[in-house]
Amino acid sequence: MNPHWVDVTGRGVISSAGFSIADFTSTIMSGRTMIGDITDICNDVRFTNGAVIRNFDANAHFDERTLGNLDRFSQFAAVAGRQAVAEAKLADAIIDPARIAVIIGTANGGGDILEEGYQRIYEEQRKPRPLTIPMSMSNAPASRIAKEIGARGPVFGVSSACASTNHAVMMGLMMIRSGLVDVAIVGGTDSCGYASYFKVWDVLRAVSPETCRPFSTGRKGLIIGEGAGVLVLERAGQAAARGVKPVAHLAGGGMSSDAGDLIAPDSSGMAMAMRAAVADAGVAPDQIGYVNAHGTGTVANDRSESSAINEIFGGNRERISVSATKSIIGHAMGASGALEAMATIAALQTGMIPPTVNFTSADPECDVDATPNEPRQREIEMALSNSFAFGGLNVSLAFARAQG
Amino acid sequence: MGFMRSEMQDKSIEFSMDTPLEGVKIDSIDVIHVIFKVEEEYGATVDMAPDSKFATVGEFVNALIDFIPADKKVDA
Repeated sequence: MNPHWVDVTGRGVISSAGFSIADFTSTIMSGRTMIGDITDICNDVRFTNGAVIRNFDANAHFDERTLGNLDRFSQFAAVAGRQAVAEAKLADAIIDPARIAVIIGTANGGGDILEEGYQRIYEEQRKPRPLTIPMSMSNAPASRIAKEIGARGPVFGVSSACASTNHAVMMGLMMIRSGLVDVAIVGGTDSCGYASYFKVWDVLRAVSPETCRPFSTGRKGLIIGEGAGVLVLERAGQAAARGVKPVAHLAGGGMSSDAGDLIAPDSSGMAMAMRAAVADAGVAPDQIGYVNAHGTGTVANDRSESSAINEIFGGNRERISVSATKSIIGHAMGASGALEAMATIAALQTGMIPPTVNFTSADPECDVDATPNEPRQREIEMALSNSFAFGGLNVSLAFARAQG
Repeated sequence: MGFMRSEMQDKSIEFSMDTPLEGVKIDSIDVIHVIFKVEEEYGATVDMAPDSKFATVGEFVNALIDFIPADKKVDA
């Protein structure tokens, strides 16, 4: 195994597709979309659907005092973090707390508590809640996870819109490779199911008025989702001492900037990130069997991403599968990379490519095998997971099937 | 004193005005909640930093009382 690869030893997820890795995997492989009506939250925008988490019982996970100090995005991350730490059996590990990093991405920060604060200030003429600042800060999820597990090393938040998770994962990867830490707990979280968030997306005109159809004809935009995902990264082989096998390897990653348009995608920047990820993993492009695409369902993203995929992988539709998990769970913004990393690892583990659902017919401008509507059995050794962000930021992660 | 008890992590701890503040196990977040409750309940403006140092519960409580408007101090 390439010495630059690191092990993924734990995973956790809170999503509209389930609150465990097993449920999440089952849902995305079944292709059962979680997109549904959101008009009870907001009914005066141009769209009526979202992939909102409806039945997360925070009281089952936190006592009343703690819950009063944690905004919803931190709650998601903390619970996903507990799952990841449990799968990795970190409680059995003998690791210097100063050599444990926690790096969690978020696009929005604590939007729920900010929305409540604005309502109190402007509508009710009351003071905001006293902990609005520490609850809404973008490092709150990382700090909470660090507190729960006693991590005393590098702990911080990363915010780069929809690439937040993948940038956080890259930080963890580099810290382990450099020898700075022994364990990096990385991921992303965002809570998006509140009215003002729907309204600010509405005026951007990027949300589909019906559903999310990545790479398909008739696609009309993204669907807003939410959730959290956390991965435990460790130096290769380290976990064997406590009887833990990796669930996958994080082989590498690539980052790029378009240095151009604020919101319009640039296929050259996407291609740069994917090319860099493949090179960083130390493999050839033909060793990649699957790309979990950023695949937002907007006309421009999917066209640009298809072009970039074909630039890197030679346009051989038969050799590489592509799919967009956002058609099932929506666009979880800063957490999207985390949830899609889970889908990518699931594909490596199960030999099944999760489908792109809501697919009607192939768009000639998206010349990729988008795995339309049904999962596909395909044993793969390596896969990419793409995240691209407003601001022209692109990150592609390369995962490999667990060896040994 | 009642506001303090409501914010304490361990509500079984007995305390009086002479109890050292560190003995009641309230952290910086609890202090902010107590200050906020005093402001909401008594219409006070408490100009006190959350990291202000007080030796005892009594010092902290009396410092808060100083910020309560005179016409509401009977209730406090």
